[in-house]
Amino acid sequence: MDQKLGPVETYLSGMERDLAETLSPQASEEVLRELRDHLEESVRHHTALGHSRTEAEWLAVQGFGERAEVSGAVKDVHCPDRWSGRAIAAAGVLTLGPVLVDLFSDATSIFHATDYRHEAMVIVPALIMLGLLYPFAKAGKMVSRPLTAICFSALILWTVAGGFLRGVPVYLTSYGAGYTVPKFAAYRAMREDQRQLAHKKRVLEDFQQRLAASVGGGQDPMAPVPFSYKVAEKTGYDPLLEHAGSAEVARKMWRENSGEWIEMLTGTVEGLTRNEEYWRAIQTTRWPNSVIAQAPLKMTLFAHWLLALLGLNAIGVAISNRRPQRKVRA
Amino acid sequence: MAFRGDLEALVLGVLQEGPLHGYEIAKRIREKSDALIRIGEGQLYPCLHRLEQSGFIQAEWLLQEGKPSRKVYSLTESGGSEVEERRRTWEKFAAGVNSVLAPPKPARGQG
Repeated sequence: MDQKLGPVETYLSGMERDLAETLSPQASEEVLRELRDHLEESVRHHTALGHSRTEAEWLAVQGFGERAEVSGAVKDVHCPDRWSGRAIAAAGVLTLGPVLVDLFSDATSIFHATDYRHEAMVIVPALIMLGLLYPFAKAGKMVSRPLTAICFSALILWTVAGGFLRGVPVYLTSYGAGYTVPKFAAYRAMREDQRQLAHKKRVLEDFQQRLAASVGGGQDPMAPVPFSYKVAEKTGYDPLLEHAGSAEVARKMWRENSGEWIEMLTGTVEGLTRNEEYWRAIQTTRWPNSVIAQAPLKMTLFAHWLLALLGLNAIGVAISNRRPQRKVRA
Repeated sequence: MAFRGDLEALVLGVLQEGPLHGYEIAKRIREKSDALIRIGEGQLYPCLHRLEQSGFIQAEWLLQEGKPSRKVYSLTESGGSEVEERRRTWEKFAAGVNSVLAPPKPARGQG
């Protein structure tokens, strides 16, 4: 059976609908409870003055003021940041996909990885963060906006820097940047090692030619030899001569040290060759194995986790604020 | 009169007497001003919540036997200082208005 609501209940029902747009159920319930208490008190006062119940309710509602004004003012006090909450929620949604992909990737790699510490570096802090954020989500409260803003800004910067350095549009996703930056660093290190290796190889070749010349035919080791490297070809630059200061000293040094120098150079070339193989391995491996190369990657994933959890929190708050309220009991 | 800015001061003023329920605050303001000031009761709650967020007042749900619990508001320490500050501001403002509205002094040599 339909029961017609009195003026106070009609007023409160409308107020409940207004507040449900923005306030959490708990906050809305508390405000309505307080307003009901006030209106009931006012009704009692008017009834004591001799008015009927209905008249008293009308007078109480009139004294309370326009519903839209009151609910607007209440919302302004309790929920001034609802749009920033939505923005944070959108940011969180944008990061959820990559994080889920990463989760899957980490979960599958656990069965193959030899070092579980890499997985623990992400999963353990993420679980701690989840535990810290849970009370906020449960209470329907937003977590610190500055923290979210800092995290999101860092991620954007990271993304732009990664995409710019790599110059590949696909890396403009923040997840891609996690690979780009460490890989770009590895790429630069490899190029530097390659340059060094080429130089050392040319010097070694030159020394070996000199040694062969001096041992084999009793020729002057300081006689011009056909340098293979570009600078020497153009300028006649001789590193040994420059180091010794004069041809005489250079000859003496050569006689005494050439064996050791060649041995040392050979070692350097071998080391640089190993480095090149290492860098090439990093370039071609999806997951860099070096701890140094892992660190920025893990930091990015860590930031993703944090942002995603903050986003989830914001989504939870937004959903709970939009949830239909229980009807006000008559 | 525009009470938007002064409503907070009025609320803080009546709470100096002790903890009060929202309806009692509105009633006390009306009574103390000889019914000169009638606030829109609905506007009282946003004001109370704002003052609570500012830390000038604190709210507490009081359990009542056989009745629904009631929320009562009381002044905090910083709220007490705030009342003093607002009173001084108001006195300055009132003194300024009084000076402007005061009847002109009779000119010398008249009479």
